[in-house]
Amino acid sequence: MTDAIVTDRLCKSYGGQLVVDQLNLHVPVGTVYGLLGRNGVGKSTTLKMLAGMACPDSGEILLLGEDAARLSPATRARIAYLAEGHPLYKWMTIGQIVAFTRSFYRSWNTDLVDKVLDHFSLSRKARIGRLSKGQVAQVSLTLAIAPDPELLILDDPTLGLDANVRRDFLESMIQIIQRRGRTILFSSHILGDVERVADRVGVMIDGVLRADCPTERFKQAVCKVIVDFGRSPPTVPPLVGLLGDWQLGSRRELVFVDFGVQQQAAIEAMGPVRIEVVALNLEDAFIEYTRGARRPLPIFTGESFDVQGLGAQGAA
Amino acid sequence: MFKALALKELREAGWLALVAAGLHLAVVSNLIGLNLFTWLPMFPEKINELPFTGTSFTGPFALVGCVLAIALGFRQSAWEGMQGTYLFLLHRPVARSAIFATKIGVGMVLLLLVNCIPVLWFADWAATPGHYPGPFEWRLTEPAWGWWCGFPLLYLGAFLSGIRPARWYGTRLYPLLASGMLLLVAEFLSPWWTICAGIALTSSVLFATCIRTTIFARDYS
Repeated sequence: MTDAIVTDRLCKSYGGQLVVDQLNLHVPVGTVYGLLGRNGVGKSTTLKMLAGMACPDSGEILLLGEDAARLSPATRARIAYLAEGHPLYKWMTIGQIVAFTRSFYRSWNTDLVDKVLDHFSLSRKARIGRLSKGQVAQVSLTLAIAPDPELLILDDPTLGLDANVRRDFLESMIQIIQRRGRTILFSSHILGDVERVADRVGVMIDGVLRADCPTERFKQAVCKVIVDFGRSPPTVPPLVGLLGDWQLGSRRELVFVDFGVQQQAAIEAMGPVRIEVVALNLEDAFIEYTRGARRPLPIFTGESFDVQGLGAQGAA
Repeated sequence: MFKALALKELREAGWLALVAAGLHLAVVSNLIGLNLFTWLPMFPEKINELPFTGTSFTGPFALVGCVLAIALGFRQSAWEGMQGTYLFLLHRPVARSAIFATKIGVGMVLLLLVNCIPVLWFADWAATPGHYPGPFEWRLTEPAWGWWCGFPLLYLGAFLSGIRPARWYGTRLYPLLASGMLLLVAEFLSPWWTICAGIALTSSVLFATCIRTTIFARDYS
């Protein structure tokens, strides 16, 4: 088995609106996978379906090689799921929630729990309802890792946390994921966090997984080309890989996937005064990639969008 | 694991049972003349009719029992959904049906236990010579036991309403309304106790089946 998570043509709709559309996701074992997308594009719904908290309309899910619809308790024990907002029983103390959760597992790393709680300076006597959001997230993470899961599904784990707590949480997560073979799938709106920890990213737009490639590959593939014409700019013809086209005075800002020789020649033929290719970080690349496309978006695939093969062939 | 789950349910829903037990005991203590709660409005005073034959016991008993059944059903189902803790609980490595069976088991035990105490206490008082100047037979308690057998039906209806997805609260309450109507029909037919028991049993099995179907078919958020 090489994939910890496999989905096959997964679909889900709410009230007649398709929220997840034909999702084919493959997350290899040992990968840290960041699932990105704007609000309401189906990230949480996807993660809920993976965790068995939402029923797909159609399609199949395999988690650690087992059909998610009939996941055995033994396999479920190998999977941790952190829901958005870290819902825990507010009336319980940390000690009580640890004891409660522990009762469900055969394997439980008590030493690790003690060390992590100590690291976060969390008292076992503290009541969950009186903890800050960051502390609840820390308790939630502690409970998730204590059974030593092979697969972690984290739904926006840093949502609502301040910058310091977020950094602390992520550093803890990085330490945890250093164990070989552990797979993490997480969604987040904080692109800096994703850039820091994810080996691979998937970008969902309107329920469709539009990009699925290594993080570095995504950053390198999406670029902004500023073309200054020194006069009223002409209309840019349809070009392979062109995602966005904005006019700013005498300039045009063009966003490309896999900007190459072919596109450069086409732009030079329009007689510009200056062409500047701007490299983007993950956040800018994501924003440019997902903001109001005016043309059909190219669909990246893992194979054709390989980091080795930067070039126009990656774009559809 | 099941012990931890049961203790959690007791901690979350036990206070409702305690409140209901307190109300039951207050009613019975007034009826038997202890006069501890006569200052409370709407509470019956010392009984002046053959025990269990009128509404002086059965009325408050049915009211408190029905309210407890509905409150317990919603507390154990809808409240968890409102808090979002289903997302935490249902990911534990145990069959979903086992989690809900434990919840319902604890609810049923609380419901039946709390509601049998006042019947037994009041019957014991009535059966003791010198307490009430009239004959007592255990057969007189049948109407109270009829209600006692019907409370689980109402509880299951409330539980199903609590976990059932619906567009708005009105339609969500259909199972509760249905269970309430079935309970009234069963009480109306109480002289024919075999029919009454058949309705209660069949309906309870039906509601339990619906609950089992719903917990696997619905989305949790």
